[in-house]
Amino acid sequence: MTLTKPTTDTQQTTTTDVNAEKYLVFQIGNETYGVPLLQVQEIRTYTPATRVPNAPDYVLGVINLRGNIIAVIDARTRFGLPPLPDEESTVVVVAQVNDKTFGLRLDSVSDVMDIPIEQIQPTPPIASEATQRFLNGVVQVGERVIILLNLREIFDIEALSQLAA
Amino acid sequence: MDSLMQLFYDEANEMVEGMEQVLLALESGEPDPETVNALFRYAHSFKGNSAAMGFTHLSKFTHGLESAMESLRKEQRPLTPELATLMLQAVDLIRAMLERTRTEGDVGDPACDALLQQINAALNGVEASTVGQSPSGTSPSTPTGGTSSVGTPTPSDVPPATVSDTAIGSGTPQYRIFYQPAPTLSAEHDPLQLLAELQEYGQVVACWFREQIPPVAQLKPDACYGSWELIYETAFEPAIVRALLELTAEGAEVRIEPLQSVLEQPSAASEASTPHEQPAPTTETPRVAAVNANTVGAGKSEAQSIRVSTEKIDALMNLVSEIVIAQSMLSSAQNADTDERTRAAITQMERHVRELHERVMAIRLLPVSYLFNRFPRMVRDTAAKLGKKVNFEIEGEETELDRTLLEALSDPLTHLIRNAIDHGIEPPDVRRQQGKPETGTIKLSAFQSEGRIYIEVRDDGKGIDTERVRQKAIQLGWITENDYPSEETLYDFLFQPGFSTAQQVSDLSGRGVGMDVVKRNVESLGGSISVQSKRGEGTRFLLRVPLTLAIMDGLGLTVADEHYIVPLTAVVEAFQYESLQHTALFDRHEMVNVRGEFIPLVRLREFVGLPKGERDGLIVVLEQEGQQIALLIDGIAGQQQVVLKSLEENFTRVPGFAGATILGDGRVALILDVSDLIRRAHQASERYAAIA
Repeated sequence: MTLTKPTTDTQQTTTTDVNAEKYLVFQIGNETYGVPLLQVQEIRTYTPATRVPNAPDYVLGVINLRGNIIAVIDARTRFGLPPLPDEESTVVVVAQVNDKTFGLRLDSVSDVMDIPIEQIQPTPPIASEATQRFLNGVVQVGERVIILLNLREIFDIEALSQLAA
Repeated sequence: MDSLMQLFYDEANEMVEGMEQVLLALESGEPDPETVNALFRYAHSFKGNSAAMGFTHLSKFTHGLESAMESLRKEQRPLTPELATLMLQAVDLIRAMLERTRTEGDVGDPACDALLQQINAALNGVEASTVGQSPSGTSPSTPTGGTSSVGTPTPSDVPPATVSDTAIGSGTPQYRIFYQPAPTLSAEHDPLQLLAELQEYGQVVACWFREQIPPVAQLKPDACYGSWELIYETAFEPAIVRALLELTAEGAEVRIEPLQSVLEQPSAASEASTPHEQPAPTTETPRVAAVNANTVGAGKSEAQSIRVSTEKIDALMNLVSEIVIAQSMLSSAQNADTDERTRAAITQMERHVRELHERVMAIRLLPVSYLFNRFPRMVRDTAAKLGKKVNFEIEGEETELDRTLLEALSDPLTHLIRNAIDHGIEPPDVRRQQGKPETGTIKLSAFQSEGRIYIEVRDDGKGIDTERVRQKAIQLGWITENDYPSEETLYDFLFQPGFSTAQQVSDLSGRGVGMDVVKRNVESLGGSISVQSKRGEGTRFLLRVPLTLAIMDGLGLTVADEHYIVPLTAVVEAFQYESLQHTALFDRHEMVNVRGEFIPLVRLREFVGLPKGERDGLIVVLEQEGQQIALLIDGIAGQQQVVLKSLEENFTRVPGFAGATILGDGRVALILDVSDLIRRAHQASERYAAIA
């Protein structure tokens, strides 16, 4: 059910640069995105969440993570894309920001990659204003362009708390 | 706070509590030598520990107290009520000083000397012939002790001469020990451990730490930059002490010199101590209640224990709950094809998991004696203040309860017991006239039944005057002159806000905050309270609380395919919803008629943002703090015990919900916040009423 963090020997080393950081890479729609592996706690298969009344639509609900209640955010809905039905490959990436643990529902995860920090470039205006704040920059690794995500902005617990107040 | 400090405070609090209990036991019973010894041991260890931590004022004061106890022990003098009161005051003072050390470090209290003088005067008053042996603690101390705190001395610092007066008394030889650990520290040679070991062979009366710490750049991690100087009291030969020190600390420098020279100056000050402080004759002391704390047995064996943070236990509990869920998934995955061996393994596993679960839950539980042991002292003081005689009995103190619950029950029980003394137990002369024993009895007991804990406070006092309750209710306009409500209804009034029958407001109870607060506190723990009383015979309060705060009885409610929980304590009744019962103000604000009474209707579907249901469902009437709502739901999913989980910990507060729980199949269900639902409904109805 739970996939532990991959060990280092399975990583691709696309660069000899020492200043590289490991990123979890996945596909949403046609684009490839990445989040720092350090922020990722685990990856689980998606089990239906319990809906939280009056929460924003991108909050799918809450699930039980070993006795703790965590919220699950749907990445597609958060980026304004139509949600996809649950598949075998649907996963929840459990991450931690600001001492709070939450889950990000993704269609699938594909890889762990070393991303050379210096080569990260500011986000080009490929996204709308609204989703721009979710992005930390882009980087090209070989053939692939990877968009780096800002998990803190995606979860945005401050905004959620204000909604609840 | 580092763990050594934490350990010190934990132990210190236990010792202070121990002293208090023993004093109370001594006061009420025969002067059993073993009990006196227990008192002495507590004081002695406390003195040693605080000296080792560098709290010289505390250790000095306790030393004075110990000397006084010593004369009690050696001469088997009785503990007079006056002496007991003074000793208890000393315990209070120690407790207060201990609390101050947390923030202010080693500070003295001017009250110390005066109190010690009073205690010694009281001791001498008992038997005037022993004046010459007045313990040294009575001598007015010179307040130069400030230089002796740990860590602050400059290299030239020398123990101040005032040490001597902390060090006279017991007649055991004392030594000044200089100890410079080996320049390189190793794991086996921990200087702090050495100091701790010294405690086992004698008594460290005072301790100075002299630090010689170089600039950080030159600091070597395994070097020892500092030395200790101790005043040490032991019956062992200096050679043995030296051997002990050198054994534990190879390569260390140790100097031991006897302290006799300093000691041989009988303190002139103590001679001149107390004529004006002579105690009043005992007849003038206030009437002191005889309190029988018969649960305190000195020298009772205590279970071995370790301290574990609640966080660790909670993490363990969460994990075990997960295993329980995984186990039930495994069990339900069995089918006709499952082979015999797998089946057997699953069955066995099930049994072990269940036991594991129970045992982990039990870790959080503590015996109620942790709470109950506070009360004998309070009863004693309260009864003395009110001039009443009370025999306080405790029963079932081994009953176990969740720690957080225990703490939360402290206030309600304090209130109930005070009330029993103040309003329940009659003054001795009144009791005599009524043919009752002069000494009233208050009994505090705890027992477990059907997965719940019951705590009872029972007194044999005058009972509740139902007629006076009725008059008061009339006065408050709750009922009319012609109403004669049932006894239960009248007792219920006691728990209503604004009700207090105390004819005179004493400083102990009946100050507006009353039984309504007790009731609210108990209910907030998921418990309930009831009262029984008989005129002239007494009153009995019964508290019913869950085993742990985290677990409550819940009722599962369904709307569409969703599942919600309400606390069972809030549920009044449930019945089929018929539109006949329904009425709406301005077509919007809905009410239902329940036997002639209109209650605001809340549609759960609407509340959780679901479309209206096709069929009429069920009504569940919920009540909290005297207000009701009717909740319209699709169906009831049954009653279950649920573990309350926080939504805020990893997410945010969700309006209308008190938290969440994990169902047997691992899914999450939200728990409705009944008081919030009721508040919303009633606010709305008030708004509409204002418009109308």
